[in-house]
Amino acid sequence: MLGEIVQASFSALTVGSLYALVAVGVALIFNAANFINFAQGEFVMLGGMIMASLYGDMAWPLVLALPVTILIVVAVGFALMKVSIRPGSSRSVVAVLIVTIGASMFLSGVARQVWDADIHRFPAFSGDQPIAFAGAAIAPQSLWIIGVTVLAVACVTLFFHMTVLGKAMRAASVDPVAAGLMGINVPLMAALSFGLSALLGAVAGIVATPLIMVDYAGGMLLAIKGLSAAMLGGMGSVIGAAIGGLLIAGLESFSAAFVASSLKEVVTFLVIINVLLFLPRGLMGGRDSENAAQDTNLED
Amino acid sequence: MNGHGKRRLGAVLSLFGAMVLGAGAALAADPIRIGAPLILSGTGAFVGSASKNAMEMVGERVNAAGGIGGRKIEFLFYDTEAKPDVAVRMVKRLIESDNVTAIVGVSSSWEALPVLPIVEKAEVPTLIPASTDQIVEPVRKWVFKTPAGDRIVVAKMLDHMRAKGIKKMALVSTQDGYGNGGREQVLKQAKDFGIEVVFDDRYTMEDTDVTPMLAKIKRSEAKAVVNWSANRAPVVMTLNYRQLGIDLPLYHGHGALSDGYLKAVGDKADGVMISGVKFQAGASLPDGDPQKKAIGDFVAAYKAKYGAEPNQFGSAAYDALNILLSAIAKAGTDKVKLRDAIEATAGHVGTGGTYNYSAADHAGLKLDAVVVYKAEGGAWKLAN
Repeated sequence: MLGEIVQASFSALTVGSLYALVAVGVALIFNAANFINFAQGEFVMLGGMIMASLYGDMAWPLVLALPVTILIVVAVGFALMKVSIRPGSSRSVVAVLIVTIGASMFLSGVARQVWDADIHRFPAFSGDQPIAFAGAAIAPQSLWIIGVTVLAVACVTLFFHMTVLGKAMRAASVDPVAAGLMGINVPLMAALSFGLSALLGAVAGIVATPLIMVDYAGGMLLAIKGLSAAMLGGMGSVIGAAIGGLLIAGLESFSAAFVASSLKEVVTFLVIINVLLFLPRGLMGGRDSENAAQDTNLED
Repeated sequence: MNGHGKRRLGAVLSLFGAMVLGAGAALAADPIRIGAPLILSGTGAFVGSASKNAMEMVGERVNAAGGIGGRKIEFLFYDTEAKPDVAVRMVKRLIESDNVTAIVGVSSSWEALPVLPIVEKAEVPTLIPASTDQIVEPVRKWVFKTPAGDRIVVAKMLDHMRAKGIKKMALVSTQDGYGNGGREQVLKQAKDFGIEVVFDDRYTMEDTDVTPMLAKIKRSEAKAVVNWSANRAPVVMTLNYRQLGIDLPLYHGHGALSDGYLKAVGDKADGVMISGVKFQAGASLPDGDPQKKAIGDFVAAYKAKYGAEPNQFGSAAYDALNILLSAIAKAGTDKVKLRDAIEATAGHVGTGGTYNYSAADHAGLKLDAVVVYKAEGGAWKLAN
């Protein structure tokens, strides 16, 4: 029994960390540009795919493969923003939403052409020998995923609260007009949010792929899980997004362990729906979409 | 304007000429027209293309030898785009406009089901190279199929478990068409082999971590685990299984019987068992096996012509076409006589098994068409 609880907990922490990284990425872009980026999962997919090629197939050293992978994905993030989204332009929220869905399909289609339809994977950073702990068996890569997520969320939080650039980005997101009047380059701040968001996606893909594998089609589903997590936590709140991710994965793992795996989606979405019914702004009370719409109106 | 009109007149005249010439050729030796609605585009194109290649290879061989009874074979390949509605349209076109003698197709189970009532009504002999047992259960007068379906694949697996003395098993499957089909068959047949299913749970193809579900199996009384899932799910499942150190025999559904699975799982696949058609085994089949030569001949001819390895989809269409051509050689192209001749097929040694159709059985295969594989050192070997 204890073994099963520990096993489910580690499963929840591992999968939850992945959801959290995606959710934080969704939250960052929501803050910066007031829309939901459905292509967020594709950053994870690209990170995993590129890393699998460079580090796995071509056997580049980790110190080289890591930055190159991240740079490529961040470049894709910037390109996505430049080409399709253009923050500050007068497109409606719905139009941009559809553009991101299109971008998601485009990126997965390109990935299928560049690579193939197969499952890709590369060796775990610290081997595959499971760690026995309190009756459970834990993959060493799980600890990497959890550790990197904690570090990434802490860095993002500190960055937004402790650095001038981070504060400027927050200001630009809270009130773009005032921030602009204060001399902050608002479009640049939005672009940086995109870069940061793509970076988090790439990192998620890199640490998670040895455990969960990657294929060209996996991005959209991750984006949906991440989006659910971000909404559950409170749209726009970084900590809320992380907590939302852990909570969803926790519900999934524990219902698989103690109810039935076949019912885990039912249990999970039952809880999400109820939370949002009673707390429409999510657990951490982020900005809801109505406010977001008003913000956009103010901008006009 | 004038020039345009002239060009058009010229086109009409040449078209007319072609029709006259065509009619003349038809009078000389009316070809036997066989319709082949297959998936020829999109992500599933490799399925239909393999079938098309295999069929063209057979067609060329037969035509080079003078055809059947002096008549050449002519294929009409239409792309169904893996869509049931397109498949239905193409089959109707083959029957109504092209007036084909018989049909070999469609490529997939989901396209096959809506096509069945159409060929039944039009009374056109149809051989389907898709695996679902629903194609032939209940038996439809005009429809036959070639690849082994879930029923005998599952039976072979349960038979193997019984031989190993396994009495209790755990069953996990994905919540999709593939997982449902396998799960149903296991639950239906396990009792017949004296095996009790002590654990039965589902997961989804998108799951990234199934350790909580597997931890429960570890505590159950099961002496073996059966996993029925496709794509990435068997990979995740196997890695989690090894992570938890579960040392019970693990059987997958035949959806995992691929090199892609072995490549993704690596040495952790060692010991995994799958019951499936013999095609994968090919050269490693024992010498007495009737399929060994059939598969060997097919693979050699295919490689010589196309420079690539054939797959099981090519094999299924190859068998279907060969059965059809043997029947045409015996009964001619009268549809009723041809259908009867197909149903009378006995002892046809194909690449997918030895086919014996009858009025009650339009699948034609027995347990001996299926073998149990075991992953060993990055390859699928025959399990003992």
